Amino acid sequence: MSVNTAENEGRVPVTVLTGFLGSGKTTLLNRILSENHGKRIAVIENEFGEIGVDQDLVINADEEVFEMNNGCICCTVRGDLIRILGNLMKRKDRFDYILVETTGLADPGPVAQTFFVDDEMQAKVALDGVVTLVDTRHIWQHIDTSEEAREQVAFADVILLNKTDLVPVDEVDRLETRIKAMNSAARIFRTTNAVIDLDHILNIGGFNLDRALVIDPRFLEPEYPFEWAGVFQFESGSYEFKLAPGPDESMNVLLLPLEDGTAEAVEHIKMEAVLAFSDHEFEVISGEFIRPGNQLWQLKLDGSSVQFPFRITSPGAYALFTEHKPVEFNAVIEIAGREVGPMLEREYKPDHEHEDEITSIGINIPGDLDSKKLNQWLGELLQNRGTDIYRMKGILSIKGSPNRYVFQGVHMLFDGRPDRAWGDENRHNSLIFIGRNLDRAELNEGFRKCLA
Amino acid sequence: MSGITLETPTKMDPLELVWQGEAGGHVIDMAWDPHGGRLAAAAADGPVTIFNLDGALYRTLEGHRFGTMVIAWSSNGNRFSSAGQDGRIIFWDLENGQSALELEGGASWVEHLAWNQFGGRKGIPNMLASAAGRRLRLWDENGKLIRQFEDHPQTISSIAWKPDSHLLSTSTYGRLALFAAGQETPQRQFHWKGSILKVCWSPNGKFVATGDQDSTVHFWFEKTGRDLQMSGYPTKVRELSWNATSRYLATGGGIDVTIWDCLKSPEGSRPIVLKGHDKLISALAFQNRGDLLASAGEDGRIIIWNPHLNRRGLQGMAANSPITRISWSPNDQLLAVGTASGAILVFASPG
Repeated sequence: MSVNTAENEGRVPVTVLTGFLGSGKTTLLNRILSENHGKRIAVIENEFGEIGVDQDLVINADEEVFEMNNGCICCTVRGDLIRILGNLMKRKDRFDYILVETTGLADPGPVAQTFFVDDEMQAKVALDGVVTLVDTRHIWQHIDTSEEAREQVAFADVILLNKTDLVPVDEVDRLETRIKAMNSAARIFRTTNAVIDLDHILNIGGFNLDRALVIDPRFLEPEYPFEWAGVFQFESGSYEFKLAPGPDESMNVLLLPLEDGTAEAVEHIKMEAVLAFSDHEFEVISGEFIRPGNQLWQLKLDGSSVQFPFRITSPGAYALFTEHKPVEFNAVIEIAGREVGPMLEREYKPDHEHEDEITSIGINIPGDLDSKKLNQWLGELLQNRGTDIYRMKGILSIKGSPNRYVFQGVHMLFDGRPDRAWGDENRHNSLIFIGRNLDRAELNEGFRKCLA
Repeated sequence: MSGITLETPTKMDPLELVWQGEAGGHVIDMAWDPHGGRLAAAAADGPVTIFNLDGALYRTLEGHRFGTMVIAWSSNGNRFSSAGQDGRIIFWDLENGQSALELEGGASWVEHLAWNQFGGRKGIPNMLASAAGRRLRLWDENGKLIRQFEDHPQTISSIAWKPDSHLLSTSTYGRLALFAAGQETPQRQFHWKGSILKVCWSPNGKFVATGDQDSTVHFWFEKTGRDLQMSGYPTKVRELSWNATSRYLATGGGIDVTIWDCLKSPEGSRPIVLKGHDKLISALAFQNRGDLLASAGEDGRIIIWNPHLNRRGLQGMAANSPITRISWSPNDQLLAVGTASGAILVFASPG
């Protein structure tokens, strides 16, 4: 365990431990306290009174949640934490680390918000991360019925699937998939008896702007607005895109020219496709032409076989992005009655398979943002949807600024600042929202409108 | 040791240091005995140090395990009590420096103590109120429990006796309540949906002012229960002090001192703003009888003002440690200052 105080400018890092009763929080706490890390740790929890454990300290808290009356409707904080931490910071023998354990039924929101709302807290302590323990055996009883269990997953920077020794592997796999869909930014570890390398749970910088943006691009993958892309080599001439009746009444498609027919070329153009998919679609009915380029086409599928002609004037590689999988419509591309198959295919996990009300929405768009439009959009978004947005973080490319802009937030609380220069890196925007009943299309479209 | 150094802030006349001492850690509370003969200072880590008027060390008390939070003299000065994070209230025998009596506050941290006014005089018995978590208890001067009041709905954030009365006021999130010794439930309640951090009665008992977590100050007219909210503070407000005539309320909650004139009503009036600190105000104290106001801040500065006459600091001094507590001696001749590094500084009043 390393305590990097320089990064927090002398502020003491705080980790919040959440998890339902029986998930192993006490076991983990005891492990942290007994591990020979040479640090003084203060634990704030709710099971028993204040006791000294060797050099460490355990303080009980009364989970006193109250609303701030400052016009921020969802801003609840933990009054007891403000008092306890304020007092701890007055001691001569300063603590190196603070752990806050919440009761099983607690919503982590007020705990997290406490560290941003109170000036005294902000000056002296720094929220490092939210670690959620999940009892792999019993979580299924809670995850569908308990708002708190879902919130604990949504808020987490790290999720420990504990007691995995007691559950078949395929069931753990199923749980992990489900949890990833809810919170794709969290790191997930499988544990037995809460055995975990402390480096994975302490000093992780979950709320640290310098580290808030290490978003693995793969985490964002489930959010593509298209399910399939195929790479074709087209000659000059007239082609036809033919579809048989399928499960949907319409399908958005996009045909983009490629540098070459490689997978890298598709990756390169993928974000352009995401951008185009969030733009207005142009409706076409069977027999009407579609064209290669940035225009998104909405093919009307009227229940019979349909065909959409297109002309290629510049021969070369093209990528066809489709909202649904072409195989569901027995779709083919023909030139003069001859079928042209794709050289490469790529499937993208659709975003509308999630049944959870809690989801992660990733947005990844190249280009520069207009700071004024962005402020307005974000302001309105947080005002209207702040209660539903648990966490957000990302990197933004602001027009006129040579530096990356980094941000993170909890509900309506937003924390952001300019970061290092972009340099040679491609300027882009990469952000993630974790929340309840989020509308991907609305978020994408709203964000896209902030482009300069 | 605190390693304190002092310098005179630019454009200010220096305050005269009379003596300095060591409290042994972050000064969490400080109190003159009512006769003005001694000064007690508590360190957050536990020890309580008592100085004679000339600065000589009188006693060092062990204080509370896990930390002392508050100290208080009875108003006739014959009891000295402390409370802390061991859940206890201790009455100290200052002759031998040992604990004479230990009482249970009713929760793991006892955060507030308040002796009644005029106790031991005018035929009024000494009474000590203690608050621990949601629990309010009232004790006599021999440590006998007079009453345990009904548990508060939230943690008690502050307690204060209403001047010239037998009423005790408490604040919590959402409520200011008045209790009489003879009754378990509140005699009066003032509700406001916000977190009250500090209660401060005007000396004439007409107003009760509160400093709030939501960066506001509230005034209640005790008689009618009408309240006014003063907003626009940069941060939470915990620093409140009334002047002796009950006309001015000095408030912190930011870098500037904000003073409300309550001659008629602070409503719609422009406050007096005193600028002299460059970090948050951490303590404010009007003299007990005189016109002077002392302000202290995270910047280590102590500034003496006469807000009734002008907006410039009369005298000042800057320590190299944040100031945590200030207290005028009962005769207003000395100003005691406690710092986060554990220094106790006693200055002479400007006049």
